[in-house]
Amino acid sequence: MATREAGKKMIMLKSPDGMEFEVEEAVAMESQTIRKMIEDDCADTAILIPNINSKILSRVIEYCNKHVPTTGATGAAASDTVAPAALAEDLKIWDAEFIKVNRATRFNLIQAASYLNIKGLLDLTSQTTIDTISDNSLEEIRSFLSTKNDYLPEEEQTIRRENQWAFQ
Amino acid sequence: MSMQRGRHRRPTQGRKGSVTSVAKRKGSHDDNSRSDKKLRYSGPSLPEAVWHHIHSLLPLRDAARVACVSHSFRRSWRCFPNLSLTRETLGLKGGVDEISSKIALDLAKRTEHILKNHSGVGVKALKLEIREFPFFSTSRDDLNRWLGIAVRPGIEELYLRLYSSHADVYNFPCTLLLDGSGKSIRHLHLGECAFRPTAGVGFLRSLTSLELYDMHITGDELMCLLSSSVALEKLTLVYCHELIFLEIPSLLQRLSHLVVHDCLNLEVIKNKAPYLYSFEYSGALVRLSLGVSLQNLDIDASGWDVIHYAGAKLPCMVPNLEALNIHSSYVVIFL
Repeated sequence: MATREAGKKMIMLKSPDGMEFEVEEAVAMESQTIRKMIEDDCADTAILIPNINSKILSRVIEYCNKHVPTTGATGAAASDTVAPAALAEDLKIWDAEFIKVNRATRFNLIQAASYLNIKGLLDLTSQTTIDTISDNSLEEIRSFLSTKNDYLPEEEQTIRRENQWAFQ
Repeated sequence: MSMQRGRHRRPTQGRKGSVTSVAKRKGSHDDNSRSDKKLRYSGPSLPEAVWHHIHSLLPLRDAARVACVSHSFRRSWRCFPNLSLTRETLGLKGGVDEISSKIALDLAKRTEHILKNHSGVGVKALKLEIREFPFFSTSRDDLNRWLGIAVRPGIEELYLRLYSSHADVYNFPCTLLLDGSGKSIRHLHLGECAFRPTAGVGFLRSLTSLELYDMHITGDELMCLLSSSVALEKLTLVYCHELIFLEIPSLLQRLSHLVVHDCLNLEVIKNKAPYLYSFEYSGALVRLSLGVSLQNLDIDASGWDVIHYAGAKLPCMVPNLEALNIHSSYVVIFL
């Protein structure tokens, strides 16, 4: 439900497990998906976020809160007094701490960032995943990606031969 | 209206099931081993589109390896949007200045194979760095063909750097920018070749950054290019020795940064772009006309008295200057 608090428009986000989160509209609009709903005037009641549980949704809101311009955890006052470069460095350190989660949580964050269309969060979670993929064996990569080897032996041989240079 | 009723639902997997089990990876280095699949594939998975996005962010070599994981990633590899083809990305260890003809042939084959595999599937960024061009196996025809494969409508970044000790210069095929590629390209970086745009060639209306290193291009030819680049924000010219007169047209309303380094024959720089904010220059004394919008000036001068010049000329020339950086070996001699 859309309410007003201290002059700021608030938006209610609901997770499928019944938790409700009241967030500033500007924070919620870090998600392009929610932004579109608000702009299309489809957000006058609580917005149900499907497939994202309350634990993950609260982390996503935490991220948006930190990254929303001029407001958020550091607040507008901080951005008035701290140089942009220092703020960016602060955000980088904060991001590095934020993403120290187990693989399951990271995958759920990727899924949430993708659905809610939050580019910064998708980039952060994807980059961390990429760092894990590099320098691993194929079987380790398959395991990490939770994907099956669906090549026939001869198909696998062909593609391995085509990309042999990448294994040297 | 809730998101459940939204039109843009994406396939996602059951939430509760997805967080309950985390597969522990064990350090098997045997790529052919297919044991323990069920145990190790029990973690959360992501929609294919998300994996393809993550795949597209990998460096070239890792992306090619991941293509061997499954059919899905092979399809994703064929659409890989960022092709960075250099000695390093193609697997040749850095620091090798001279390579054998066998290795050069191998690099050319890899480049050919990768580009052929990606023909017509929307390359967004192409970085092509070729040393000793056109030595060994890489001819001008090869390069024309490779550029023709990747430089298609939709391309956003092109970085072409040739390192050539030959007097014979490669002519960048400007016609490539005629068929729509010129409309989508945002970053253009060319090095050590000739670029001869003529009037009407290319309407680079999306171009925001243009970098020319050691290029054969005259002032008139550059003017032809600039006169269609209305979105340009940053222009960098380094070692472009054919330039004598550099004029930045007034229609470049978004141009904020100009960098000119060591263009030995340059005599005049005349800026008419109304919002130029920063200018970085190194080289000999030239006639400068920069415009009133300039706030940052960085001059690296040797062989002329830049301090005296700055005191005498800059207050009138750039009245709104806020930051001035001067490096000069000339001044040190007289201190």
